[in-house]
Amino acid sequence: MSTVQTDSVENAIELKEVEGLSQGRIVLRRFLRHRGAMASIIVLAAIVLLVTTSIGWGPVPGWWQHGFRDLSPVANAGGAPTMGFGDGGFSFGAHPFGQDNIGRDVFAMVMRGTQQSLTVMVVIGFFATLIGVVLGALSGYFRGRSDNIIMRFTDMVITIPVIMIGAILGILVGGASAWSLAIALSLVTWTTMARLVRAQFLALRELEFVDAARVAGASSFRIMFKHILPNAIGVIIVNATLLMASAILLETALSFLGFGIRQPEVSLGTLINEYQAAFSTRPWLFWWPGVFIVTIALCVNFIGDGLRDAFDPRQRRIPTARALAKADAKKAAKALKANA
Amino acid sequence: MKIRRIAAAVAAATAGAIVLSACSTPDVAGVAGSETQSVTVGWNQPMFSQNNLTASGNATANANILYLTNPNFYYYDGDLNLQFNDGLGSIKAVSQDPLTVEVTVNEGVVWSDGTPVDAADIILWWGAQNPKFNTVAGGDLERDADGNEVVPTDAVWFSGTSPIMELVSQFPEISEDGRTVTMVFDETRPDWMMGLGMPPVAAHAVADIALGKPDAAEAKDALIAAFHDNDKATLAKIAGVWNTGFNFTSMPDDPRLFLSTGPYILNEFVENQHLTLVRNEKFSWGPIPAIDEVTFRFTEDPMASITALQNGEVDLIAPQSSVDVLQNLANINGVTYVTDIEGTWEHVDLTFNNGGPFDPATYGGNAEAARLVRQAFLMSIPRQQIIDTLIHPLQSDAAIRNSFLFVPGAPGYDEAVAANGSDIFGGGDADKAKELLGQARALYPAMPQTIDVRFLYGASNVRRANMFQLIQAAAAPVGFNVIDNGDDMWGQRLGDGTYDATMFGWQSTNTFLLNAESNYVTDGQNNFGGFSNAEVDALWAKIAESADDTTAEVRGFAHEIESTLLHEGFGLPIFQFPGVVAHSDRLQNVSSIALSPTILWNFWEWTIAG
Amino acid sequence: MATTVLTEIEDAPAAPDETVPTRRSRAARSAPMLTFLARRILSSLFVLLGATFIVFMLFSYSVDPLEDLRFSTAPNVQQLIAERVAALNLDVPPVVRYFQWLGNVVTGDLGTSWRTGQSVSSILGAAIPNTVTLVSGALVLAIGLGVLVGIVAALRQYTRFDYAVTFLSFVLFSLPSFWVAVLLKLWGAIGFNDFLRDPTIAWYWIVGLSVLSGGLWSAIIGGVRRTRWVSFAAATVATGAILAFVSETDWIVQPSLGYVGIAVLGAGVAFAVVALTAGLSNRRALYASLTAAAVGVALKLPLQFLFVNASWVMMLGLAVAAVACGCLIGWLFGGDDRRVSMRAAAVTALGTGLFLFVDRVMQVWYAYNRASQINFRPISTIGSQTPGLRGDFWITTLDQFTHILLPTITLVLISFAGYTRYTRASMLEVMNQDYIRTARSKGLSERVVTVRHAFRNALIPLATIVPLDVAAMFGGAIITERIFAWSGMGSVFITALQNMDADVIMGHFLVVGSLLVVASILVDFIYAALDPRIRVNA
Repeated sequence: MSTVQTDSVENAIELKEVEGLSQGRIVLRRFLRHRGAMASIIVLAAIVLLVTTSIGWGPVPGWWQHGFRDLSPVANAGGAPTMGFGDGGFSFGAHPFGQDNIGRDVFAMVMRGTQQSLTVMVVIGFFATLIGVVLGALSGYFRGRSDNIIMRFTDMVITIPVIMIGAILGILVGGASAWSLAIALSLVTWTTMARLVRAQFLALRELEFVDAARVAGASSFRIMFKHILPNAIGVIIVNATLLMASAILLETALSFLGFGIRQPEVSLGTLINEYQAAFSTRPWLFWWPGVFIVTIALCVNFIGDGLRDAFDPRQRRIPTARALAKADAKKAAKALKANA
Repeated sequence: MKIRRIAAAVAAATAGAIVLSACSTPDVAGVAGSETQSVTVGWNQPMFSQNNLTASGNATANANILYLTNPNFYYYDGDLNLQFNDGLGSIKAVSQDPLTVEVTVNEGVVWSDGTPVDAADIILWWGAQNPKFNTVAGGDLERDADGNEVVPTDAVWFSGTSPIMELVSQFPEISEDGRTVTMVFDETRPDWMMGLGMPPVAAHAVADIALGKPDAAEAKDALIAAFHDNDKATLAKIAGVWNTGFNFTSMPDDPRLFLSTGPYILNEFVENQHLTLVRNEKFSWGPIPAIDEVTFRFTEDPMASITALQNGEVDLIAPQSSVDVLQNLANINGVTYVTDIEGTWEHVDLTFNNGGPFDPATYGGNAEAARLVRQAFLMSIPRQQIIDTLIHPLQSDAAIRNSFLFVPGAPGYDEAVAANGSDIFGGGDADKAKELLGQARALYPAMPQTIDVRFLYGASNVRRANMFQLIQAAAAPVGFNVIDNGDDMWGQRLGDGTYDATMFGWQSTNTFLLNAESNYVTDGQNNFGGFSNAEVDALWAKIAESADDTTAEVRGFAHEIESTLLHEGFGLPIFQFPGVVAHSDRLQNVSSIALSPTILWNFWEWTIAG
Repeated sequence: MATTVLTEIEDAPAAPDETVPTRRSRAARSAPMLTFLARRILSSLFVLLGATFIVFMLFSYSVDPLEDLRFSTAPNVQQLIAERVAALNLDVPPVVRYFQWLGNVVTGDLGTSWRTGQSVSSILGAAIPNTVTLVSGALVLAIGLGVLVGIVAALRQYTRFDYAVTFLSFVLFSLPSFWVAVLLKLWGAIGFNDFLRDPTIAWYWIVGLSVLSGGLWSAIIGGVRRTRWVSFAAATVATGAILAFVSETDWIVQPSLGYVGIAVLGAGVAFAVVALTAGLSNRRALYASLTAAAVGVALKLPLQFLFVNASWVMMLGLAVAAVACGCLIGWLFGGDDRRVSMRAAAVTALGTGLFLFVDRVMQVWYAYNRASQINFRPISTIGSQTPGLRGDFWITTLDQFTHILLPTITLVLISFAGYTRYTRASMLEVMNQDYIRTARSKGLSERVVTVRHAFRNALIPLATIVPLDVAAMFGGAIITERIFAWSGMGSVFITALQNMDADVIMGHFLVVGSLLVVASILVDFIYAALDPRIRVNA
């Protein structure tokens, strides 16, 4: 087996994959092929659709008959779910996910909680990414003193306990709303993003295309955001998804400790926390919000994984020694045939 | 070849060893001493000071343990009657004018180191809590940068003062036998007894640590002399020991720090984990408990205590009650639980002085219109529905609390309810409320059709959030638009006029009427709504002057106060907090009361089955 | 290449914060390194100062230490409020209070908790060992397990095993930690303790678990179809046999490994260690390791006499002795590369010693269960020890184990997934490097390529996050500690926050913050030391 041959086989596999495609198309293609990520996107989209249409969002009304704060008479004993197989086959009933002890509809509460948790997730994802990218870019591009200052500032923020942020919010704004909580949390969760982006910029600014742009007279701002940033977009997107996945869990943990979103607003975290004692006695109160949290976090993680695989060609499938041998053998056989 | 040889040697050695193993191996040691009858109680906060008379040591976490090791002269029984520990000693009022009280310690009562309990200990109780000995006021002390008091070496400052002991300004008289102390009060108070008791730390221990006098009698004399002569230098040292010397969070090395006069004595204390009390062999002046060892285990998480009970790690818990807690407890085999009321009661208060819907100023100074609006709002509160949906599932015999001043089940409650006119509010009556509102509107026609009521409550408290929703829903058809002002910092907002109605709980610590004076008297400390009524103030003054508040006459004053409060629409009591006590079936005779020490009150009656 | 920075693997600290001067010449090297270090330490001090200030201000503005007094019905409440205001200096602005606090800290006084009067240094002194006991074990296990699973997943990329691991790690990633803890209590403690009352396993459980284990092992071992089926069958039968044995005998009530168990397990360790480090073809290493295992079995009996008065010091001594003994055996076997044999034998000896230890702990299991405080419910849900349990070293060790078990599992479950993802990504990247290709082309065996070349380099990025994790560890596991009533740093923090205890909060923060800052410096140096491509600081 010769090295040259192996290389050519590997290259052939690689080249065939990307022949005649732009970088973006290649990434998209790789992403679409990631089954876990695709399934997650579908599930996540379905969840978003469900929570936005069911009880409506903001001024937009939804199709579900109960609001998340409406009190209606308790249908089943203890508020058990009405969903199930009755006389006429499967039916949802008035309260498919059940009710709590004063008759609020669990489905409506879970929908509302999911809206809030998704808001927290997206807002943190957006703002933390924004802060992280800007600071990381400045730090990595200008290096020197500004780099030093920004990185020390980052160190400072890393050490601040997140719980403290939740606690102070309770005071400043009288209990956190999804937005205020998310914005406050994004003020302390951008650090990883900043470090990653900085690293990217440190590497990319040394490359020839940056020199070319500089020689052509582009401003620093333009070089940073028009030339370098698009090359770092993969890292940013991947890390943003991971950030979002951890954001939803962060919100849950804060709520468990009593520092998250407060009553009467609900989030998935407050629901789980409020009904943790119902774990084995009224499982519908605990499991439904739990299922939504886990599903959302799972989907976002998978999407992040798919994006990473798509953006990072170094993580492509490694041909095993056996596969290479096989390919070699095939080639040799072909050559033999051709010779014959 | 070499490998083979070594392998063979090892194999031979191994075989030899295995043959040898037929010989006896040393016995495996077991667990020592498990014949004792022990009970484990789950509690949420560890003890941190033996001295619960100081400002910082005054906490339930300490008081509970001390209830078992350092009993007082009196306690509340299952029906909230005050009972006396006759074996320990007595407190008697020998004269009413001026109020003169004799505190006697019985002969034979000793600290666990054998030193008799006597007048010196009572003098310590009196002196250490009497602010007259302080040469600096707590607030005026110099502080170090850290906020700790820098007490000059010659300055005296005892932390934690008693307003009752302050009334005894003269040095009390000590009897010949040194076991009776007679105190003369400058003024009378009906709850004077609450200010008297047995100190949780021994006088001779304090004096020994502070002054280095190992001889008990000598130490006691020095302590009495110091208070008698107001000897600043000595008192300064004593105060230092009193304030911080008895703080510990794990087993102290010095046995003087945890001397006991009760049936139990501290034996083991692992920081933040558990604390074990064993029998005090010297104790004979009261009922001897059946349990040899009581262990307190500390868990913060309420659900954790239930799992621990289920797993047999604790025998007795008093978790915060909820439907699911009860259901969980019901599902556990071998566990019994009882639901009953706790010492805290929920109520709604209205604001009189903020220009809001309940302020006469809003209606051009028409007091009657404002009163009717207040009554209408209170009447619209669906008290019965609140009980039925939120409390009944937690306590099957839950009922509306109908008195401001008397604890349900305690002496005097039933009479108060019969006399105070609370029946007109019933469980909430929308029609009547509407009618009252109509009358008010007739008096002041400019009144808006729907009246906005800003309602303040603790937002993260699930039960209060639920109650708010019920109140909001019920008040809407009457004509009140109840605005959600839920806030976790509600405590800071009390009295600031930014809300019209609020809902929170008051905790009762004893059954004396004067306990609640500051809630209702004009400009009282806890009168947050700006309520002011001359009649009520006068009645409180009468109660304060009486020596005994359980007489029919004084209770009559209380009934009048309650009628006025209800008639004026001050607010409305709603319910007594429901509690739950759960214990494993092996532990029997557990009972609980609404006041501290709740589940521990009859620990000497506990037994272990089987 | 002008610059190269390893990047974008999960949430890696992708590059060192400051570029460290690389070695130019021996003489020129130390001076800039020292200035760099000095500068870095100085700036970190400012970082810490700034962070304490921010935390202090956040805290001061977010709590109301007078809250309980506002509802007090005490007649002298005004005086109490005045006392507390004075005690906590609430009448001066927080900024002033911060500098007062700082002044005290500089003079070595961390202050006291105003609630309990306990000094902050004693609070932290009690909490740190507890947290370290709990979290360090979990951290080591999580990293070990995570790396192992991550490597296997990378080597079996896009196989069913890889997908299963990916899915599982994401599920664990997505679980709220208190959920895991609550489930573990229900099933791991109460469920297992109930099971102990009648320790028989239903046949369908045996079958199900056996098949599961078979599938798992065949997926891990991989290979051609025949190999897979063989490994599947072997693992299924072995698991089934063990479960059936446990179910039918009283083993779980009076467990022990015995000579046979230790011999089998010791031999297993020997084979595994040799296979990984030297290759089974290295006969000397194999025999040396097997000999070490055999010596361990032979020593079981004499050790029982020694174990009567055991202590942790003795255990440590025995561990050292085991390693020395292993080295000696390896050296005696001689050969061209003695070091390989010595290493393998030493590891085997240590492993066998561990089984001897486990065997001895198992011997007190019954006595432990019989104690009235335990009453045949050994796995506990709260605390770190059973109150009032008086026993020898083995009993207390077992008691600690039954208490630490569930919180440790909780922490491992929620954190190992991260290390798995991390290692997998890093390993995949390394496996695609040119030097791996070169190594393979040289004809090196897959074992040598994986263990010697890929594995070590794949650990480099890991080395840069572990110090930060260790530092963060001292902050305690807030939720886990709370649910399992473990009194460590996490519970100190949360209690202090609830008690509005500024000094305690700041003391806690000072410990964790300083460690984080130190770790951050350390990471920079590890990075520079491990990756020589880091460019010169301009």
